[in-house]
Amino acid sequence: MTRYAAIKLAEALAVMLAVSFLVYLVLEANARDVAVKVLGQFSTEPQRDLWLAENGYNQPFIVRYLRWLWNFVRGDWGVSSHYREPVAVMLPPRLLRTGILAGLALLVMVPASFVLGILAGMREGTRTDRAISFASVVTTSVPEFASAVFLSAIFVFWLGWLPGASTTPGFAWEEVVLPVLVLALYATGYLARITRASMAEVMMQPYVRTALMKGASPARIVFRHALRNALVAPITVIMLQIPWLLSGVIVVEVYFAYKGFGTLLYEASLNGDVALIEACAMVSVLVIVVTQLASDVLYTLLNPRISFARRPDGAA
Amino acid sequence: MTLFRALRRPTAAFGAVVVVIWVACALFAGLLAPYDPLISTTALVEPFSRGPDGKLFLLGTDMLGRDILSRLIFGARTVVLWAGLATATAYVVGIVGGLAAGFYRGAVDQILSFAANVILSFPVLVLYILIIVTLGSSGANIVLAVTFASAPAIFRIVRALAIEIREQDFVNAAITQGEGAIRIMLFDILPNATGPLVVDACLRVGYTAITIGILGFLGLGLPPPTPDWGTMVNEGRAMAMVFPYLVIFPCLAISSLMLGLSLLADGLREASREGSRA
Amino acid sequence: MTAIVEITDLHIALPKGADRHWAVEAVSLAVAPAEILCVVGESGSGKSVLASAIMGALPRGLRRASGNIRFKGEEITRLPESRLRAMRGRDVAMIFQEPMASLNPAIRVGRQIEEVFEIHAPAMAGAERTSRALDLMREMRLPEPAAMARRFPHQLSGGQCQRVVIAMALAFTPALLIADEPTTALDVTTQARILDLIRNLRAEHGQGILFVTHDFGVVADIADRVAVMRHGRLVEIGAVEQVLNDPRHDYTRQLLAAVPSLTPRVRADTGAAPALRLEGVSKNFGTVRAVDDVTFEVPRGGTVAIVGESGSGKSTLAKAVIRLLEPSAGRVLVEDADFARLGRGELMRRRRLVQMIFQDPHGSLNPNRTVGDVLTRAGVLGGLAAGGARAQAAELIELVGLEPTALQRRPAAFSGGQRQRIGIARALAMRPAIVVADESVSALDVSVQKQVLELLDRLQSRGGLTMLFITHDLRVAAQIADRIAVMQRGRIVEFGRAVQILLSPEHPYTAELVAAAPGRAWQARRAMASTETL
Repeated sequence: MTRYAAIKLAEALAVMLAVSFLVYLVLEANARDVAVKVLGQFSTEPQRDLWLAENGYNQPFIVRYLRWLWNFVRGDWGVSSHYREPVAVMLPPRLLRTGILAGLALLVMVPASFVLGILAGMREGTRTDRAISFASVVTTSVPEFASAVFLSAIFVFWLGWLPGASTTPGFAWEEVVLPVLVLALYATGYLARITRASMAEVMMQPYVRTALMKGASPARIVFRHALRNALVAPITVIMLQIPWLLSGVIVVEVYFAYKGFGTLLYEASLNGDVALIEACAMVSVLVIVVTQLASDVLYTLLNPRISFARRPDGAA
Repeated sequence: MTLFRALRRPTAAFGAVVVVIWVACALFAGLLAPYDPLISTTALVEPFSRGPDGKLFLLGTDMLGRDILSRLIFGARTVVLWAGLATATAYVVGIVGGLAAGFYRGAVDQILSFAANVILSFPVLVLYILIIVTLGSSGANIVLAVTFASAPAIFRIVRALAIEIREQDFVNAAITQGEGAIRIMLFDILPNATGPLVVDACLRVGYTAITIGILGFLGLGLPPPTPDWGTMVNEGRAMAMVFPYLVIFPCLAISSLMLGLSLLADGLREASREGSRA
Repeated sequence: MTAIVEITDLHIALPKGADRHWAVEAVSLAVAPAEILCVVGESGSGKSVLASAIMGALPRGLRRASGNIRFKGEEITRLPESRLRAMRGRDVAMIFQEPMASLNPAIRVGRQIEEVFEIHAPAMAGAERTSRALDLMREMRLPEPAAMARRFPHQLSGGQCQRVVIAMALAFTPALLIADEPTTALDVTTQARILDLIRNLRAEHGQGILFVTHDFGVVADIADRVAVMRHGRLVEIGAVEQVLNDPRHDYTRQLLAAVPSLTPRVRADTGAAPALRLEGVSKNFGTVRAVDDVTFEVPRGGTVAIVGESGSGKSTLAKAVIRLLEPSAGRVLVEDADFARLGRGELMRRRRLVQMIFQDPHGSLNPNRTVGDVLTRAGVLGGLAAGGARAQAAELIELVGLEPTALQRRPAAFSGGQRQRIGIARALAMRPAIVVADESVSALDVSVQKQVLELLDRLQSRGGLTMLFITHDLRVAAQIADRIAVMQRGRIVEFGRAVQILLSPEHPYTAELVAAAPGRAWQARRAMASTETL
């Protein structure tokens, strides 16, 4: 297990390293472009030359990259050219707000999709199953910006219950309802489908038949025998959903003008704010790599055939 | 065979009809659209009403006075063309890589899988934003970005299928016959992987359409005045509180296309499952 | 004595669109206390459906159309699900084919046994449940029950898992035990021990046992009475001696004739030069030595069978011989070239010399290519021009006993036995020096198995076919091989002429294998009888 974890960790580090190189390559390979972006369209050539020299851009690319990487690892993420603020100071509050959004979305979608998926997968082909399956196809077919439009049309334009965009500088509950709903709507359908498939597969396993032949009741079969094995896949998938969620977060935050990580990245990209884009990209990749790692570890922990085999008395 | 079996399901048949309608719109946009999508008439005519000149606008006009229905129909052309093209190139790259990695394993597999892991570590949208911001937005760059972002996922699917099929005895038989690697990949492995790949392709065209929509919505899509569903949402968003129809119709368009593709994919998946059982 | 279970005129309908109307049609039979009734049949005979019908748990899509099932005189077909549930595991219990898959992977085996008490005796104290479970495990002769109870199913062997499943089934000493192919997935020596256990339990507790199997050897070893099923219908039922020795029905006779005999066929030793010579072949996976220093030769025109149980390394050896795996050490001499050391190009040119017939008739043919395509391509790769390859394909398809029209069809159109014939034709199309057959008849029903073995025999007597035949079934080896190599844990423990191995084995493991072959005593009597009539 430790060996497995060590290998996974090394892989994750290698991926992060490759990602950092890619990000730097894309954004800063052309030093002159960087100077234009930082100093603005109307800066003069001498100004740019001076800036490049001052900031060490006349060194070879690989040296610049290594220096940037070193600074990044140390926590020096540069200064936003648009906001004139250190990036490392700007990011945490934005991440927190996005974290709240994503956390609430998970809180809604996980229980909902487990219940729906289990109900549907328990007995394949029933009317409940078909209704749930169809509903989840529909919700996963509506992209976030469209469900944001539809839900806003209903709750903001028509019923007038909720605000259509964030306006308060702080945090307000009524402002996160719609963003959370939009995020959860899409992911719930997807996760419910995974849960359903996993549940349906488990229900066809011989050991479920054994339980039936022992005289176990349907409730006992579902809760004692099926659930534990059926949830391994969906729990692993929740982790892998995080990249989707992060993409969705950008759209949803932009739509509802929610001042989180997504809007920050979006605005940074519109402003050509190189340092900010780099930091945002690196942070989002870090989140994904960590969740993938967690997903792998979780899978080994949840799968009895892997996790328990390493016990000393495990020799079969 | 599988397609016919799939279409016997009402949901899949419905999905296929929706997809066919949008493809028809794309192909015959010029014949189907009542007006030129780029020409301005009266701004902000409400749906189902006539402009001052007596022209009927079924879905209304936008703030520049362009007919929304016509823009939706021509928008289908944008989406179907670019989503189709982008998915196709992504598939070519993904299939070639996936076959090679799954058949040869070893170093080839490790290098390709690592590259795929690196790309898949980005949230897709971040990747698109990075590429579009660096290269600028144009149809060709969208194709490039989608290929770059989707090929690794297709690669993984093809690789997994290739590894599975590689274990089958008919592949072993071909190897012991001294059959060449390329022929084994093309004649023994690929044809037996088409089932899941067709299902995935259906969904992926949809995802790509959505991606193009999202890029349009973020203002990173095809440059105006190209009619594009996502861009229409973006443009209408400012006035959505007063004229919600500006954004609702393009959203319905993209959602219905994706729904059609999902239902069709579902039907195909179920049908091929039944086929393998029988 | 009254029957424990009595089935009368049972009809179970298949879903619409199936190839026949009834899964089980007009079946009537009864199981008496302390009786073992074997239900025998080939795949698709409806024997397993019949078994699950008694438990009131038909597979999805199947439906009882008519007929009665009486359990201890009580009609159970119309009982509500709650009553059936109370009976299951207490009055009627069932054990299955895949012992490991029959246990929940996430629950310790001791807990899984205790669960039966939890369900049917909720008032029982936890400590008593535990001690009763341990008692049961002891009775099943599981080693160190206390430690074993804390393990998970994957930490047990297949045989141990089956003992745990039987322990669960016998927790309440049910009046009826239904066993659906309980030993099919096990090795022969394990099978012999489990059959022993079931016999002893019956003697001790006196329950009636309905034992579903496809193997007449197992029937001969365990049954009191036999019911033969075909296409959902009961063909014949009677006492075991009568059915085995004096079958009334043609189909039963056919089936019995198809059962491979342990008596080896005798063929003159040609004394031909070796076509294949293995010298010290080994294959390691990491630190595990799957094949360990194997040396023997196969004479031209002869057949050597490699017999071993699962994990003995026999399939790994086969793969190493044809270079689907790279041997770690040793030489594989084919036409005096070391096949194990050939470079890529040379290997590609010589591949055709060593061909394989695979185990799974469903996986060994590309579903997307017509049979003609497959055979023609094989001929081309074997060095023929396209026209010659086509002509050869037509000859071969006839040679293996299929219609010429088969060439235009795809594998899905053929049965398992027919596909295996196509697989043989494909191997022959390359005009190989030696054919390796890896469990090539194991997935087939006995009657089909017999036909394929006869085909191989016929091809061999035509001359030129040299075969290395891998099998787990000593009986099959007896029918096809001149020489037998017995493999255990990667090593050849005994190698010799088939007659010697089967009649006077020297190595204790060989002796154990021979003794464990199901139906040995019955077959010996049968062989005796047939020599007497001669």
